Amino acid sequence: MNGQEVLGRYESGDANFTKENLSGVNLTGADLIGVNLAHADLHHSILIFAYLNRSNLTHANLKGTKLCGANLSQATLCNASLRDADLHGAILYGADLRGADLGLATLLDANFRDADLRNVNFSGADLRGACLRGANLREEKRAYKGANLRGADLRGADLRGANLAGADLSRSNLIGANLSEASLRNADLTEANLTDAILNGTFLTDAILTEANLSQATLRNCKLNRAQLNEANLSDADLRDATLSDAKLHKTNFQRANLTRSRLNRAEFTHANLRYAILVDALLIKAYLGRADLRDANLTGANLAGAELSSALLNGAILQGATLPDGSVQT
Amino acid sequence: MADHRALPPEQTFSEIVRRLEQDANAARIKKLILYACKNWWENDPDRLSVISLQSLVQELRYLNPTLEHLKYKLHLLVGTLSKQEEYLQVATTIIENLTGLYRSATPIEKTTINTNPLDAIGGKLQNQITKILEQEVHSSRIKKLMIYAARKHWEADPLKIDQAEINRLISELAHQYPTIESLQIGLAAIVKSLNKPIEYAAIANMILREMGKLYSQEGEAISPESTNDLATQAVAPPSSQTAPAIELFDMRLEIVKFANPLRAKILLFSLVYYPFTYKEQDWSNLKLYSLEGLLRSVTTVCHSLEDLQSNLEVAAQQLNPPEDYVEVVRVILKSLKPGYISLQQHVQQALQITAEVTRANSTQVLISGVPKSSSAIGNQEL
Repeated sequence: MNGQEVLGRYESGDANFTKENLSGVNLTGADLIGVNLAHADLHHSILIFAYLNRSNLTHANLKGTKLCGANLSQATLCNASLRDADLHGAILYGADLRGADLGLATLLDANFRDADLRNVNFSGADLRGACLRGANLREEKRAYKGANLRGADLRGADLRGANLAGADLSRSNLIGANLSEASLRNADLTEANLTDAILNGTFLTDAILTEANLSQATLRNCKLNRAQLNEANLSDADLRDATLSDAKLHKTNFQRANLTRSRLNRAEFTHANLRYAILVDALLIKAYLGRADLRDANLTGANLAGAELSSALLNGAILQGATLPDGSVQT
Repeated sequence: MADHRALPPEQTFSEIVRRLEQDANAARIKKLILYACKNWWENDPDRLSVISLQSLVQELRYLNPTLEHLKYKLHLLVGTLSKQEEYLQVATTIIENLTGLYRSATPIEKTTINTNPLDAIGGKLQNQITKILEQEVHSSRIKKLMIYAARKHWEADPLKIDQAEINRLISELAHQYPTIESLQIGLAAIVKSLNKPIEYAAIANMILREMGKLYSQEGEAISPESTNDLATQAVAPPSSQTAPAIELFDMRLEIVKFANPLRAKILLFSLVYYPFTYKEQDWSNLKLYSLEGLLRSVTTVCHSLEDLQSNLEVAAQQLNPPEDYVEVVRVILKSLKPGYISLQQHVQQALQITAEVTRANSTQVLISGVPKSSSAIGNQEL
């Protein structure tokens, strides 16, 4: 079937193309709103700027399909295969993509606002500048696996308010991305690059951030309770008012980081680098700072009651007004 | 290769080393210099004795391109030590002795840096380029290609070509193409569309070769004051950078909410670079830029909101079909209106900081002898 035949049938009122073979068809700019393409084979077809709003593409084969600028808002793409597809600047607002395969797809500047992306495979996809605001990518025990974003390129992506709880973002590139107010509870961000990323008010409770790069990132009021940040790089990061209680911070680099008013109770800082860090009014109650490097750190007004500091390096550290491990206040 | 002009004369150098070796605090001097060079503290006198002070001094000089850098570094390190008073004296001794090295060294005269081409507009360099291009055998073809790139129409009238001034065309091109890469892409796209692509490819290369000088000017020596400022900037918290970044996220969101993101990109790309014609090469070029990067670039091309509106309308009319882009113009204008000026200022500042850092880096590179890497200023794309 060619493009003209598809359009002819659609215009005559027949919108049911279930299981049809439409591979390689050219439907650039076609108006196919509400079309039923469930289980259809559309691989390598051209649907640039096509109107596919509210269409049904469940289980459709869209491998290598060109969907640049296509409008797929409110469409159903459950379990569709979009591997290697080109969705550059496409609109997927409110679309249902549960279980879809978008591995290695081009999703540059695509709009996934409020889309259902549970159990979607995005591994190795190009999501630079994509908008995933309010999208649902969370893991649900016994129902959906978290979205797979392993190694995905998410530079400058807008992930504000997205639900990424339990998602796999290991080795992903999130340079300059905005994750403010997003939920990343239990998410895996091992070796992810979050340089210059914005994470204001982000929930990272129990997240794995081992060896992640968060240098110069903004993490104001970020929730990192029990997060694993071993060997992560947080140099020059802004962590004002952040919560890192019970966090694992072995060999974590906090050089020059601003941790003013942060809550670090019971956090494990073994061998952590806190040189020149600003810890003004920080809460470090019962924190373990064994062999931590606090040289030139500013701990003015910090609370170190019950903290283990005996093997920490404190040369040049400012401790004025700080509550020391024995409960006394430094004058 | 290291720049040998930056090296002090041999005699002065050994004299300085000898003075440091004979100083009453010789051991502490060596410890502090070692700490400054290798970032390790050595207390073992045996190990210290086998390290050559001469090579350490040489390294210290290379690592700190200006006396201000050296002072800053040593004072920073002294602040971390337990015997601060003693080592402050040691640092002073090192600085006093090494001052001679900085005085005797010929300042680095020229470093190649990428700059905003507009900085050189109206200057001597522009006149030189004009002269060279005017004297070329193919000056009429040069003008034709420049007119097309700058004014988006093919001029066939010999009288109008003759009257067109290369000097003015250079200014127009510099305004429209903020980076040499953007000019290259623009010219390449035009050449491809002409019926004599091979002939015009050579003309394009000629224009790029000459115009390239505007984008990569020979910078002046860096004054110690400016590098010192940079050192201060480097330790300043980066939080001030995030506010405009957040603003840009909001602008982008408003655009993708109410317009097709791809159409918005095509329109902005056409404004900044060349009219998009839906050819394979155009699609590949468009993928090199993000919507965010294009929004940043547009602020360097359109100096006011009025400018932006008229340029967007012109770009929309050049696209096929124009009516698909009219609504996009309205959405972009509405989204950018509240924060356009602040975004513009932020982009300008970022460009300046990048330029300054590049200058500082190129100085460092020249001294340490590491191969120079070209940095792309103005390329804010992802």
